[in-house]
Amino acid sequence: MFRKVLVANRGEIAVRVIRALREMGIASATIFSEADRASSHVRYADEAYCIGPPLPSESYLKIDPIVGLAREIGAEAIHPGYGFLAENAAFARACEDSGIVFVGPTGDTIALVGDKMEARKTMVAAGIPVVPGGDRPLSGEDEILEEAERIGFPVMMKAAAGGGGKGMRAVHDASELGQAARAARSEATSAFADDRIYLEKLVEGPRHVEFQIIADSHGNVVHLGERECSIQRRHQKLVEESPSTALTPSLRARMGEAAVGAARASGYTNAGTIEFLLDADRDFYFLEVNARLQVEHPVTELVTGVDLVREQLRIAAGEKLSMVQAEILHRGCAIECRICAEDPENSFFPSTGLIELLREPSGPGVRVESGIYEGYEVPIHYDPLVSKLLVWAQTRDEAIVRMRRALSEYDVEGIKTTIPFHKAVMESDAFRSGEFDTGFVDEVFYANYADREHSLRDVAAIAAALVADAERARPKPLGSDGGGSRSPAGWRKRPGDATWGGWQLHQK
Amino acid sequence: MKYVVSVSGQDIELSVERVGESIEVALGDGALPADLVRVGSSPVYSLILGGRSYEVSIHPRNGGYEVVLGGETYVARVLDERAMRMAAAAGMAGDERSAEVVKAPMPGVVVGISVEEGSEVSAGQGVVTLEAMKMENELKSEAGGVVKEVRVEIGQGVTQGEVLVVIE
Repeated sequence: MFRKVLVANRGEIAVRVIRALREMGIASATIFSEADRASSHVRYADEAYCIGPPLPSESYLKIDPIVGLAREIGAEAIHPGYGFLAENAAFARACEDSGIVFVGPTGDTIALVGDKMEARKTMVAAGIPVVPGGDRPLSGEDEILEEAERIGFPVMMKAAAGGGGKGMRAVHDASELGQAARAARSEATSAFADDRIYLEKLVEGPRHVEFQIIADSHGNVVHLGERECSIQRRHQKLVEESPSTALTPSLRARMGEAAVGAARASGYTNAGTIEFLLDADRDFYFLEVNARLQVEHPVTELVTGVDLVREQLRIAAGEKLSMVQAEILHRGCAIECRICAEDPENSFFPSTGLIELLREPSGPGVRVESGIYEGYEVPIHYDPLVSKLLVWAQTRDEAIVRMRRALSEYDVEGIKTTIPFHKAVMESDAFRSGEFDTGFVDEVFYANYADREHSLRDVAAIAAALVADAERARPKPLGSDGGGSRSPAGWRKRPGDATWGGWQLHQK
Repeated sequence: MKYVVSVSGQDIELSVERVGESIEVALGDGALPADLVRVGSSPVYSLILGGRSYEVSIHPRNGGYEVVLGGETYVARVLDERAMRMAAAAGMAGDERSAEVVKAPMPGVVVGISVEEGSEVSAGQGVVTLEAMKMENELKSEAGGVVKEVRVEIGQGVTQGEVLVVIE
């Protein structure tokens, strides 16, 4: 096993990986940008090195300095986390060339599955179902129209180098085609520097269900069941859970088998995720391979008891999988809510600023993966994900109740977060019923979000008035700073007068 | 003492009466004993209202309060009788006297301005649309009033914290 590993990431995922290293007795080193000097991952790691200015392109995305640092400090392996360089084939190859172990699949596998059209071809050859369409890149308008008519409208336009929903467009008829092609091309060019686009049949009302796989370098591959990720907004996942309410045991077995087949077909090693679309008839189609540890990996850890980061490190060190398929048992239900520094009242616009107050939930069945702390200034340069809140319970109903409880304990002040949004999702009938698809948030839920009841408005008004009244009643102390730090003194309840008295707070 | 508390665009009338050490709050047709204590030196308070216990944090902001309760953030402005009389005399009930500014929360480009100097705005009304990180964001005025100054124009790049509109 390794003696020292460099974690080439930041925030909650860097902390997550360092925790596994610490439990395994491996020394941890990490990198940071000038904006992250005081970050939790820096303070938590055994060693930390500044790698450049705040902009990711000048720090966390710098391949050569990061690989050079690993050599210099004697780290035998680099864990890339997710995002940044995690699915960068050139980075994996640079590690390989420098004799540093990249904790993930090979550069060749990353390149193969990163090209969506190549990945499709590979899966078709392996007999894995894919969405009809998409055998070739399209250039002229005539060619695009011809292909769309061959597949049949509606179609989905995609970028060959795509991912994360970028460059994707649903097209319902021929009149929308030209505009969609131009928009998809320009988005694909700016995001991936690759303007190849292709068409697939649009799967209507799909669910997004993915399978976690782990594969060692000795030819062993197992899957660890599914994660249901249909609660999305504009192709960004918001809530994940396992098991999926849409899967029967036989469908799960067939999809799991396909996931293992997909991993074998692409020569996959280490931890990865095979994403599928599931249509209303419960037919499933291969979507893409995520060649990294996923944001939502703890969902699988909670229902299987497998530490995925530990497995990743064991595999990277050349060890065999510590389990066979039959030994992987699923217990209970886990849900994850992604807590982002975004304002759900304002189209999920990023919210930056100082975290003035932070209280994290705890208690039975609660796990928090966080990269924030009181006094943390959410920077504008990085992903808005600031923490992940997970719960586990015996049943889905119990897990939802537990998540509502945990969300009510979670208090982040000074920035806007998606916590109130998650509360509303957990209370919605559609989520609780388990009957939803990927259109749930955009089409059904968010449309009504702003109109939800603010039942505690009157209580908030009373609290504000009580503080104002206390400030009036108190003589102004010398050198007062305007009321910020003063406490209303002398509040005591009158004995025997605590009755509710039939008085109702009026709700508007 | 009577108060008008403006919360999320709604004016709520209530009164706070002190009888010795006790406090009673009246709102609508009912009255309740109230007890508010601060937890240490944090912004967190414990409020017991007629036996019902609430945890609430209260941050003073721009002459008002940001109240976080049940995971929702409420922006509250409290006017007492004197302030209400003064406001009524000025014919602008509920308005703040001090200037309010709308700032850019992050660097971006102004793509829309929905007010001009002299426009009346209400609390929560969108005034400027800013494009940042490939998203459009409507910036709202926290307080109602009259637009005193529009400091930007469409197409202009702005830095984080830059004042875009001043409202009086």
